[in-house]
Amino acid sequence: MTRSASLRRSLRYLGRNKMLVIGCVMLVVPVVCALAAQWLAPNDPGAQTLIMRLKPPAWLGGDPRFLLGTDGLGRDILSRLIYGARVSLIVGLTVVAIGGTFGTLIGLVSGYVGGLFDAIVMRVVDVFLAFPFLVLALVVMALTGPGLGNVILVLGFTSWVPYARVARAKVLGLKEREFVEASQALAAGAWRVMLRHVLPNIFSSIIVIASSRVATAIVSEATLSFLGLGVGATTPSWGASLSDGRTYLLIAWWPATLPGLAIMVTVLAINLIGDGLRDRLDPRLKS
Amino acid sequence: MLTYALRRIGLAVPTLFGVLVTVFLLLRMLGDPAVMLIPPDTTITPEQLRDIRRSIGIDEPLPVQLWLFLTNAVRGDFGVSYYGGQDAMQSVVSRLGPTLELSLIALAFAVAVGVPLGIAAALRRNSLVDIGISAVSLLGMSMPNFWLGLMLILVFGVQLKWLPISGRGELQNLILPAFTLGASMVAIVQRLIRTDVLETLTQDFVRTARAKGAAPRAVVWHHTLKNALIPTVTVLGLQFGALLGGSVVVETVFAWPGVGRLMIQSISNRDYPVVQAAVVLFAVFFVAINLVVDIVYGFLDPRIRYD
Repeated sequence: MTRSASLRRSLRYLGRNKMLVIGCVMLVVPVVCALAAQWLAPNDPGAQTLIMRLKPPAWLGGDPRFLLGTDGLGRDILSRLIYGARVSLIVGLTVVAIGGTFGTLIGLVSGYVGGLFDAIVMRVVDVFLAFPFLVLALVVMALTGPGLGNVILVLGFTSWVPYARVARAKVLGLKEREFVEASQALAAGAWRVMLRHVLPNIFSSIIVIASSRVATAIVSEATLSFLGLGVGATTPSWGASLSDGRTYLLIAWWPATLPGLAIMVTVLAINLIGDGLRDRLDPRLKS
Repeated sequence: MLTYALRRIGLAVPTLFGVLVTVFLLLRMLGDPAVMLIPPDTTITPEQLRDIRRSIGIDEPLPVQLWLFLTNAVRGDFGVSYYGGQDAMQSVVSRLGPTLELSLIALAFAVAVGVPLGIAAALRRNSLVDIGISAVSLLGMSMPNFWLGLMLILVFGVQLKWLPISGRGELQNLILPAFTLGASMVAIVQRLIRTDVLETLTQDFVRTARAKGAAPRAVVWHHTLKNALIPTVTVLGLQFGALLGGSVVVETVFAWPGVGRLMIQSISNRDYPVVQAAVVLFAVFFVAINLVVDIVYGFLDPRIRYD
């Protein structure tokens, strides 16, 4: 098939897969915000204007300089939401990159090598599954202290389990297949067989998990920041903004409501993409 | 059956052992407990530090410490709270009631709403009903629970003044937190049931029942649902762990006096014995639930006899 024909086919497919399209369109807003935050944000997200505290959104009688109003410290909510997209998407993508790479490799080796290594890995997986994951993340964050890097590391290294389980299960099915045996017969090394022949065949399952885990990571970061154990007070994270807004819930609805809407729209977009990709790449689950 | 149950219990033992070792290493790796014992803004001489280390047993080599920790843990001894000197595990256990109350009501709500919605969506696949239910589910799954909680407080507590927004006691106090905790699980249960029912409907035995002229209603209730519900039971067990994790957040939002809130308070007070006891209790609970679920699963589906 020529490249243009395959492109046309993909586009036609995209037209049929409405969830994927709607998700991608919705995701454009946070992605653009994240990439162009310094040009889009009308104000400095950290600048406090104390005489402008808790101004309502502009159309409700607030100040036209602060389109979505200000928070309890007089900071511009719109600018904080725009910069917050950057935090959320960085966390979502890096956490999935760490957890996905780490988990897939472990699952791949565990399934392919088998034996004692596999048995040990499976017991470790059981232990990880035994911790409510948020509780584990909370404790580690409490001990390491807040910070974007810490959040990414903690969420990354607690999220490898689903990839490892799926990769292992798929490898167990694949390793008896002829093309794997053929390459082994041609004296290909274990790594070569795993990376060149097995990995490409499990990649679509990994992508399906990864897409939905981006959403999980974003919500987890927001939750940790909401509980005061996330990226730290100076970073304009949606979860942290929501936590600030909670203090003023009884007198002002906007500082707590708007960051939550931002999280919801972004996560919904990613979930739609995840569902769309699953229908496309893992048709067994297609209904 | 008995062998299967015993085997499953046998598998849970190394898991619990692993949990304890992980908690131990995690807390040792990330800081010196003796330093953590010193109140902030106090200076201390090296001799005093050595005394503290000896008094809590961390002057011993690491394997000895691990042994001490494990033997104490088996007896339920996780040390005493730095604040008030109460037994750490006891103060956690005393908060277990409210957490279980909240989690079980949320679970019941999720099953009571999620299962019928899942069945309805599957039986009317690709209809407006299905699309509507699926869209609401997806929305529910995408909403962070702490935000949903705050919005419910805003609407039903602050604006309408219908329901109390914090604390525990009256039945009305339970409504908002239980709804908040259960909402995302309704979505998960609904999606799961829908997939399972759709998958079961394609099975040969359902086709056979149809071919033999069984009434459509009987095919759905007798042949399909019973079989479709089995996989859901296992996932519910796993979801209960997520529910316990979620209760940490929901209890914080609604000032619900459970284990989760105690844990957050202990984390901000740096009261590590209590944090440690809470983490271990959560994990033990979770392992126990999944053990029970697996054994029940073995009863429901006699074909299951893996390793």
